[in-house]
Amino acid sequence: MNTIKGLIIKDLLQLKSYRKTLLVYILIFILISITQDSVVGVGSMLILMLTFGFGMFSMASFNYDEQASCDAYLLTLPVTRKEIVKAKYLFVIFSTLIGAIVGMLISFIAMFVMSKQIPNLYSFFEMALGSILGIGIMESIQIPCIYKLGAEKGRIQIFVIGAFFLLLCSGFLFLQEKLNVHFSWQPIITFLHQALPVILIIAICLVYFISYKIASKIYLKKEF
Amino acid sequence: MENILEIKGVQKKYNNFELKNCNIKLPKGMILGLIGENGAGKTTTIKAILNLISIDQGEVCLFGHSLQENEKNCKEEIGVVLDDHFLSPYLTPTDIHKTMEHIYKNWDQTLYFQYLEKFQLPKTQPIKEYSSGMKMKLKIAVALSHHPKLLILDEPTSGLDPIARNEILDIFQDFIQNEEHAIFVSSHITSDLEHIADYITFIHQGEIVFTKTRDDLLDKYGIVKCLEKDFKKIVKQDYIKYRKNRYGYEILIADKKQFKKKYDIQVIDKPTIEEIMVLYVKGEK
Amino acid sequence: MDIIISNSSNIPIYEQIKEQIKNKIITNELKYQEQLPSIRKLAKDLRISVITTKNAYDELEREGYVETIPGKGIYVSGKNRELIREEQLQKIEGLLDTAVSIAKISQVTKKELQNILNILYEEE
Repeated sequence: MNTIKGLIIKDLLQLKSYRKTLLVYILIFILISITQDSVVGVGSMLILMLTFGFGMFSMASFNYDEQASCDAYLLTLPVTRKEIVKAKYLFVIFSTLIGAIVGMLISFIAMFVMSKQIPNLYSFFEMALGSILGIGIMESIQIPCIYKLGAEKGRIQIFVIGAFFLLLCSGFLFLQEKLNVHFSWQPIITFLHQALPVILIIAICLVYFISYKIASKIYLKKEF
Repeated sequence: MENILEIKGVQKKYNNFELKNCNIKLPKGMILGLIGENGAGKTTTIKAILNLISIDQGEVCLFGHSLQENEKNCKEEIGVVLDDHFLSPYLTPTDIHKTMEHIYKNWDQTLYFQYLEKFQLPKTQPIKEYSSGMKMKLKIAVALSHHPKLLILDEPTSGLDPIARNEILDIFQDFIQNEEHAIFVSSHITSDLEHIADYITFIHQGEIVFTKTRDDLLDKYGIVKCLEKDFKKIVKQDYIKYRKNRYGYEILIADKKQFKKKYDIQVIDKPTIEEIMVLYVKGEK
Repeated sequence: MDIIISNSSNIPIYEQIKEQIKNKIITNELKYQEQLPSIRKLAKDLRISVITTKNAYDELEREGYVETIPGKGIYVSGKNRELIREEQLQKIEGLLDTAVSIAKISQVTKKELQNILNILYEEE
């Protein structure tokens, strides 16, 4: 749809100055990876960090929008609120995907250059999916929060939620230790490993979709 | 479709402000100026027209259709200039073109760049480096470049020097030469509206005080200047508001002719819109 | 068409326009069947509201000075040249009546009055 294309173009163009930052970010991580020894670790880190970088690049568009009070103006144009939300999600999702792909490519090249062997693509692929899911969960929580509370407050919320999850996980692990319950992860892990990519892809789609639905609901009712 | 824009019984309640029973009609080929102090409800009215806010009651009709039913198509035909909302200041006018050509069906590239030339706006300079006058001219250029039928403008001449204001008013007058067009403009700068508006709507504390033709206001309304002894002779129904100053009384009346027939007071001045507004707001009854 | 309007005058703008156009028609500056600018063009050139110009043109039409031909525009009307002349004659009669009354009171003779009239005409 043309309108959505226009909105995505606007987001890309307004992030012009950020592009340089992103490039520097990529270069830094390439440099870091060259100085490392562990090849596999490097690959995974690169993929995760690049997915994160591109993801955050796209999320910054919310801050730029808020700074310019751009939403109110956009709504005077022939675009529906639904299209605005759709365009944002498409932009964020594509950016995150591209981040993962670029991460994979660079890892592949880096590993090939460093170890003179053709590395195992499959584990990179799993890592990429995992990164997309991880970053995707972050974005999926952030966007509805931003719509509800604004870009500034929305980002603060994410730290609160992140901290909460961290606490939850550590609490769970702590409990596990204390109660001496050794939950056997092994069979689950073996099972998961076979179906991992599919599960990850489904999870990614689910996470983004639920977030989109919530965000749409919020945005449709929002007043400017 | 006689009225290009109709606001019928619109109400909107906020915590400390309420827009009450707003009724405004804008016929084709006319310019309506909305005046009022800061916080009177001008921007709220404009936001209600554009569906930026929900309304508690009432209806907004654009081009003969209810706004709710046909929002996207209606907005193709509207050019909007808002005071403090626009696109990111990191964009350049060329970037804006690249965005708008996908958003408006009737986006006219040639026309847009012609306006940029005419207003002397550098195409590849980001908006954040623009002066406020240039920003305003850019907003107006964007609003006009997709051949809209209706212009909705919130303070379009604020921040412009007198020469630029004149230029812009000329452009609005050009726009209105086409009888199918109309302009809805809110402004503080009442002298601008005195020049171009056909109708003036005065809004005060969320309520519409009057909608009159500019002629009625400037030709029929008057400001009587007299001393206390003469003021005492005037019946309350015959005036709108008055103000007492050190030298006497200033009284706003709605019909100079009638007043002259009834009272033997000679000094009745032709009012400016600004004086009418001030007397309405600050005067007593 | 040159029309000068004063914003500060107490005479309503539409009346100022009306009178000036009327005068131009009477003095034949605007000729019979000549087209007048549209209400919008006039409003734009004079920087005033179209409602004002419409009022002025409406009154001129009502008084018979102009007529609207649908689809074409507004033209100086020829049909009331007689009526215009009559109106002017009435005006002159009224003014002369005043002059005569004053003359009678101040004992100015008819001959003196006629002399004044001759001089005034010659001053043209």
